[in-house]
Amino acid sequence: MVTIRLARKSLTDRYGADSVDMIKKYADIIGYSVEDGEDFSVELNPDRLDLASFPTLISSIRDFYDRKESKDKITFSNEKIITLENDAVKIRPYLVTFTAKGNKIGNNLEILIQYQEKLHETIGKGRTRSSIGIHDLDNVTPPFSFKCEKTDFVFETYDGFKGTIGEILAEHPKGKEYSSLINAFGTAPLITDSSNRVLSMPPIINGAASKLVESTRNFFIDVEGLDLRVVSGTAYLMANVFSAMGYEIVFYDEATDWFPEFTKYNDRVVSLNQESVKTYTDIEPKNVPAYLLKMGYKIRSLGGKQFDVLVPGFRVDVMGEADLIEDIAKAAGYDSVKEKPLQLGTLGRGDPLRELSSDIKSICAYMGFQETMNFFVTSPNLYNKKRNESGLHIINPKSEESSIVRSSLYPSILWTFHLNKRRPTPQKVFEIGSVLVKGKQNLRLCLAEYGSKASFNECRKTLDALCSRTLGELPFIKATGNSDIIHGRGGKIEIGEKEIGIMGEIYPETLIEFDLNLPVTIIEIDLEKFIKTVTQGN
Amino acid sequence: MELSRNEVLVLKYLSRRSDQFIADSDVEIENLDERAVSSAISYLVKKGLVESVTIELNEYSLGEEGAAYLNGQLPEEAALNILKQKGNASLASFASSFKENELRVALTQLAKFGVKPEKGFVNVHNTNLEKIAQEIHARRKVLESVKAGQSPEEGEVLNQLLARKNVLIRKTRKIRRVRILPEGLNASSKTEERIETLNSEILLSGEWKTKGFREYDLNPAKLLEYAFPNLHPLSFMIERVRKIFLQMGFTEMSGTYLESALWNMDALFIPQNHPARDMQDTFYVKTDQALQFTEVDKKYQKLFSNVHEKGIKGYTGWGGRWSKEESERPLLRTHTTASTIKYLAEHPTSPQAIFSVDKAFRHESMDWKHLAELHQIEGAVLSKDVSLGSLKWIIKEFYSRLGLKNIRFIPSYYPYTEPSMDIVAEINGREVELGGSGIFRQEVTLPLGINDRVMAWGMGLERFAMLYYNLKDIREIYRNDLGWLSTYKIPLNFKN
Repeated sequence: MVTIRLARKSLTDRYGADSVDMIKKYADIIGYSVEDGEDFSVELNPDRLDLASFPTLISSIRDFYDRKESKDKITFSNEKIITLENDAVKIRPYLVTFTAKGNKIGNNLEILIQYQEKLHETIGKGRTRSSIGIHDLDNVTPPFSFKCEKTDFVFETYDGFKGTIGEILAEHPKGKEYSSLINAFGTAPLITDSSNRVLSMPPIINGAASKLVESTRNFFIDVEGLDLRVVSGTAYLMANVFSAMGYEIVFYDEATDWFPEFTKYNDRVVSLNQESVKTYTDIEPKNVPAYLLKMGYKIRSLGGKQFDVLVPGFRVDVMGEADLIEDIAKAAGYDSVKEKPLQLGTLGRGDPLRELSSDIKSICAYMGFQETMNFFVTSPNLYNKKRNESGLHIINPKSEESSIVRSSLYPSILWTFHLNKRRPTPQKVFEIGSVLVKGKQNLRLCLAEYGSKASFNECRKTLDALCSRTLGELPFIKATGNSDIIHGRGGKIEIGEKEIGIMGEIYPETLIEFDLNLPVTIIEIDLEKFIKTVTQGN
Repeated sequence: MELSRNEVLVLKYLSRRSDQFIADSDVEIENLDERAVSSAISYLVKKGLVESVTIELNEYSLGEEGAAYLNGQLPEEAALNILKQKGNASLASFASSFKENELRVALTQLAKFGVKPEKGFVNVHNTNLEKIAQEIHARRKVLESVKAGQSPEEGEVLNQLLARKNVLIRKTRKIRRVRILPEGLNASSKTEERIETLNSEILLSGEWKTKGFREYDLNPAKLLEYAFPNLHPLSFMIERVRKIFLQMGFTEMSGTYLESALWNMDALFIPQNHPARDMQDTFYVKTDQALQFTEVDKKYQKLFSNVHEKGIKGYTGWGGRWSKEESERPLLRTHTTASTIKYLAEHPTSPQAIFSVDKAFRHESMDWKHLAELHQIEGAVLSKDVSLGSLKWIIKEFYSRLGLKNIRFIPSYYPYTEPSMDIVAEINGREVELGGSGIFRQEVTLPLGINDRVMAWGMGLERFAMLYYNLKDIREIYRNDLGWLSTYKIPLNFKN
């Protein structure tokens, strides 16, 4: 989610008293949420970065409700504005630049900088994939160059830090944060003007020469990064915000010379078949062009039912036909899409293991056991050297209590008894849940009793009752070395020759470990082996 | 006035001894233990039929030291014996006859009798040893009587011993004594014993014909403190949801919690730089037994890599470089859609209707509305008739069977569906988001050889459980408080 925020008064001062209602109305079309208070905020889905500023959101609203004709806000010029040198391109392979000219930026400067930061975080992935530099064009002179300088080269940053490149990288907070992005061994990339004044050291910091102020009216913007699509997308998003604020935008043809695969603003074409729109949404073909225009697209009709749709460069989320269809449906309104009954022609079937656990759950509850549910991701404190068979750890746990995957159910049940110590006894509980043993998921059943009468005989009675109801045969208990079970008071459960679980009285040391002062018996069964026995038995 | 059987029995007993106060513990009635008697007496006092006085009674027992003294000697006894034999003793020789802590006690006690060490000697001078001996003997007598279970005589000697550490322990017990009041005598004369619990003796003897039954309080307060065991509240919901899906003709999927990024993310066209893949959104797992990548998985790695880098059938893909290593990271699945997509890869032909209600994991801090481990309800349909209209229809059908009417759809975004819709409904006057839905992107379906469209919807079970069981804190569900688990209310006719 991407959130934008502005004082409510500032919003209505800038965009008119009706802007609040318009933004709320448009929310149903796009699907964002609005919070209206002293601060007015909009929370957007992360795909529509082009709407993540108030100027662009308002402009998109005007397009949607008032659009009369599609107008081009962006032009291309064949002037030369910047030269690229190989050593710099090796570090940041793609560079796209444009200029924006108009009135004094004034208090919109803050909005501009916030949007730049938003793009750095999202599409730019913390400046790794793309980063943006914005400059006052009137204080520097083109043509600019994108080149490398040695680390002893001295310049002053926009915030007044004067030093060598090496010092800026090592000492300035931005330098420290982003120096790893350029892997500079003795050199760093710079954008300089014709008299070698530094505009910026991308993607790290801007220079003082082209510093922005509220009176700045003409801008030069550089966007560079590792992936041309991301870089040009970022540039068009940035251009879009300038354009929404009334600036004339000029891109330069030279980008196409350097990067032949560079797509000009309006040159991306997605073909749309009206039949597809009909299958997806039932929307009538005659309405499609109008909806596309409202959503900011331009159309070249190919005759018949085919369209070529021109996608503006800032719509980085549009990858193909389905994205256009969604926009058409949004423009029509999801409420207007008629519900259509469906004949599935399929037969329902439950998962066999689930069906079995369903039955077992009922049987256990009828036997007087309360069902509990504990987490699969649990605390290592429930385990110890003798109990932990899984060794499966979460690499990035959120807390110690949830940092390992359980390998058996009964430790959580012992913990449940601990939590319910003050409740009346006897307490009889059961749980069906998955554990992970040696990398394999396994569905288990655990039945347990806590109370002064919990004993091997009671436990065996429960097990026999369960087995006679489900298998029609009684299990054999084989004394075993499970150190949580008192020797001679429990062991492995065998059906036929197959071992399917453990049962018995819990060893006092374990009870003390869980701070329990009455005996506990447990039965833990591998339900997957159990179901095999059930199906083979019949 | 309605009297219980026990109250009647106690009242009758007391009426025969109406001239005296009797302690609770002295009331002896056949088959009635002391607790039952006490409880009956309390009720009788409350009802004004019996008067009571409470007195305090001291009980004495031997402390650790006291018991040891009684087995051997009191330190002052030992000291006295030395002085009797030797007259005077050097402090050093005197000390050698005692253990460290007993020496201190012996000297303190001698000092109290006026015998004090002087210039390294314990001198008797003209002390009256016989008087001291008597005093010490009295102390021993007290200890002996305590050991014998008798009450020692109150007085100076007793207090002296109580003042010493671990010698004698005094506990004060409150004893209630009761006497029947005239009202009680009156009531007792009127009551006849009535049948309490119907048993075979009463039944066979015909006693029930003449005796009459005691009438019970038909609406007692809070009898149900700990009710009968039952299923977990989530189980009720899971079974209900399963039933709805099965009745609608859906087949249940099964899947594993431990999954690769390949199926959890790449198969669903979630870009490899998507924030959902970050360490702060997904639980990654450290395992020696790395996930097995089968030949089939490897085939899909190639297919997904192509779609991510280059796109498919007119779709551009994400561009950039797709990493095989990234796809092989083991994680705890973040959604059950990982199972849906695996199932569809194995069953790519129409029609398919599938569902699951199973666990997914989110890298979240737990709070009143968030869990790191939760159940997801998920349904998906593969059919040539899939459209936005049929998706709306099937979701409304599904939710209406759950009791939720007036569902609304709002535009949303998921990387693997286009169009995407969120599902909202008004519940208790609030608009509540119930889940997400959409039609799978072609980048997701085409690599699996699916030629028709797939629609899917999903929601969190626990969030719904909060509405269903009226919970303020989602963590309640997993607290396993047996009090709540055995009394929670099942909303049999849940509606919004």
